[in-house]
Amino acid sequence: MWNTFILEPMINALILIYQFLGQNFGLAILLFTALVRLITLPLTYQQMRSTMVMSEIQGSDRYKKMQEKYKNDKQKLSEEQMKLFREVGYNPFSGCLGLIIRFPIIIGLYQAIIRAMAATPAQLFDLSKHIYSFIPTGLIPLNSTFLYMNLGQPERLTLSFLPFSIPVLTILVVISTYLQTKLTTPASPDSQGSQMTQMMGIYMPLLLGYFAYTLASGLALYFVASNLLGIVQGLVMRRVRESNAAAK
Amino acid sequence: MSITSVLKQKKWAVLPILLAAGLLLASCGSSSALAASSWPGVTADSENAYVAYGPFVRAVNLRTGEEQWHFPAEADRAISFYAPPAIDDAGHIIVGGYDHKVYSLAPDGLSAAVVWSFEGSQDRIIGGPLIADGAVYVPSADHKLYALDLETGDPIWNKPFEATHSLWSAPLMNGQHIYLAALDHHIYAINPQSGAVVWSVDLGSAVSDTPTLADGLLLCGTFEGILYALDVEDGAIAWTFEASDAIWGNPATDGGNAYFADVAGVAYSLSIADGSLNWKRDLPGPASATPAIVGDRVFFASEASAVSAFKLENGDPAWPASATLAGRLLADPIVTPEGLLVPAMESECVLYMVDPDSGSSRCLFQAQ
Repeated sequence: MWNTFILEPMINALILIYQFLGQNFGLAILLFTALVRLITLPLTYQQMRSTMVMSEIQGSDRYKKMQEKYKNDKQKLSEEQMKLFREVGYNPFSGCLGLIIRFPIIIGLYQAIIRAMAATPAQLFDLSKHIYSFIPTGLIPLNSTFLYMNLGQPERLTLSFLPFSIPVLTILVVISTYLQTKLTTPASPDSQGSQMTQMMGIYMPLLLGYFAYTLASGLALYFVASNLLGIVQGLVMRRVRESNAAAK
Repeated sequence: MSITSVLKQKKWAVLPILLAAGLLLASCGSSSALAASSWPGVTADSENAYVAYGPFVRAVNLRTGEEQWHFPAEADRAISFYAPPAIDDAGHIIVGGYDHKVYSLAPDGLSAAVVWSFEGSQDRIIGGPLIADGAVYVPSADHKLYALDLETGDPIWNKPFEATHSLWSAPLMNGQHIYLAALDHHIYAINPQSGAVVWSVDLGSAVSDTPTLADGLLLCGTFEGILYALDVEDGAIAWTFEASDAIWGNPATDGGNAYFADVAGVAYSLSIADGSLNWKRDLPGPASATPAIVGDRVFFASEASAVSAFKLENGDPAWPASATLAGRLLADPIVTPEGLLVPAMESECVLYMVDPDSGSSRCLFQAQ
């Protein structure tokens, strides 16, 4: 089920893009990531909008007063909050739906990229069983060279005048993940939320940075592309909402 | 539960979700999909099997299954082995690692000492090395074939031979040329003294296994599912045969016939003279291994944990049913004095010994 409806279509789409782009797997990863981001844009939009609206509600005077007024009556507080949400047209669970639908797509995209890279015989043997019959067999295995990198290996840039190599993609993953978390997660007015945002800002870059440092660089390339597109999406949405708010 | 508490918990719920996502990504990454792993690389002499599988290369007694030694002495996360070790009668043991290095080993107690190591490769050693005429020829995933002095590990060519894609299979020598299959769709004939290309032929899709030499022909299966017979002198195509799916393991030959299987799980017998089909039989699962021949029987290992035996002459089953083992049987079975040695992947038992007469099997070696 997973293979038939998620993984195999993604793997084959990735290989077709690879063929279309002159058998450049690095560019194929970038374009494929952008396409999947584009397809899931409505879901992403809904999720981000929900987060921003919630943030705005939490920052409002009415919400803060409500918190203070009913701090000893949880039932009443809950009722008042629901009333407020209805008034502003906010569904507290609307953001979750987008995330739930997007999550398998993100995992499928991730799996498609790592399976298509197939850097060992067993991986290539497994890949061969997921390829549609109309894909030219001459394309397999994919050429994993991109710029100075072997996308099937962890990336390190070696410069002749330096005694050590530099994990450029790892650095880009850490920075772009940090920026994405920072720029797309609205500042939370309460201390708990703010603390959470700070934690995410630290843990996510470190987690993805570790993956980028130790795993195949094709994956790190995907992280960077995905983060950069996420940052652009987040900034555009924030700008639109700010201009809409100013217009009101 | 109040909305307030839900909202507060929702924030904190992000942390476990984040950790779960990380674990999910990590588990995807450490599965066979991304972890640099493959099936066991196995070689055998009359006494021992030499098994390259994961963190160790092991020598395992073929009769008792006892481990004689392993290398390295302690597992190191940075080092793993899957390429079949190369051995010769003089006791040389050459292994290539996924750490990009080539090691010449000498057994030393329960481990092995490194006689020399070569660190010139820029990528994994996936195909087995070839020992011939005082040299060792090492294919690398960095597209290069390295020729090294067998005693010192020093390069003996001015520069290594370089293809345009990875080299995943052991080279083959016929005394005159080295024959090399590459994932760049080519078969290369190379001068063993200089590394110069004598001829090359483009077969249109990748060739992952070592060609088979028989009756002046090189038999090479491709991912496109075509078995090519090439003239060893100039690479001219003598005949082709179209299988039903990709061919991973190249043929075993005997008495003028070639035997191989494809990824669709179909076994074939062809005449080497003209490529005509003698018989074909269905296997229980996809096959990537070169079959083994013992006496008047041919044995096919398949991914579906099964070893199937057929009579060479007519393809009739040689056993009442396929021998069912465990794990994925993707590596080549090897004929030994003790029976048919069958390596298994993703199984507690790494090496099975199968009786070619009856099909009965026992686990010879289980990795700790």
